[in-house]
Amino acid sequence: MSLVGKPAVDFELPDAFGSVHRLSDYRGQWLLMIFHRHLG
Amino acid sequence: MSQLRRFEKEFVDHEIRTVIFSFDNEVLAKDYVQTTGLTWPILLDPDFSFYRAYGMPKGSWWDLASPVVLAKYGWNMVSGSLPGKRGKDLRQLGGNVLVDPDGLVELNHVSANPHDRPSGRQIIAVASGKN
Repeated sequence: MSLVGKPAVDFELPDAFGSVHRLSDYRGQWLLMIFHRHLG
Repeated sequence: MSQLRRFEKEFVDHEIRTVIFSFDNEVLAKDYVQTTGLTWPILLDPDFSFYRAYGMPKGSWWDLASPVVLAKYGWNMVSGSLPGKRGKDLRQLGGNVLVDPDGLVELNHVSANPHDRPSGRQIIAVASGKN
């Protein structure tokens, strides 16, 4: 089911160095979210 | 991800911020940043909550081992791109989502195989179309 045109699902997650990122941090800008298969 | 990293500067020029979602652990993520010099944040989603929320699929073994996919792996290895450390779920296929400045999804690419990703050019084209 495509999510195109719908509000992005809100997230709140830490990065690798402990900083927390929220969808709202990126409001007003384009945001590319890459769902990685695995690191390496 | 290396394909998209070639567009790092162009994404900045088009005011596109980038984050990586990973189900791998903090140690692997830090090692990846330090080894590759990645500047995009890696967000840790170990229980796949947001992979699921955004509909990112878990593929079949055939998705990972079809002749086309194996040929691509072979070409990458011949080109010097050797497989690195692997996380805990080889069948996760991942994908890409582009969100506009109002918080609406403009592109929702769910990968059909490990090499199925939109190009950086396609992503910029979508963002440019609404700028």
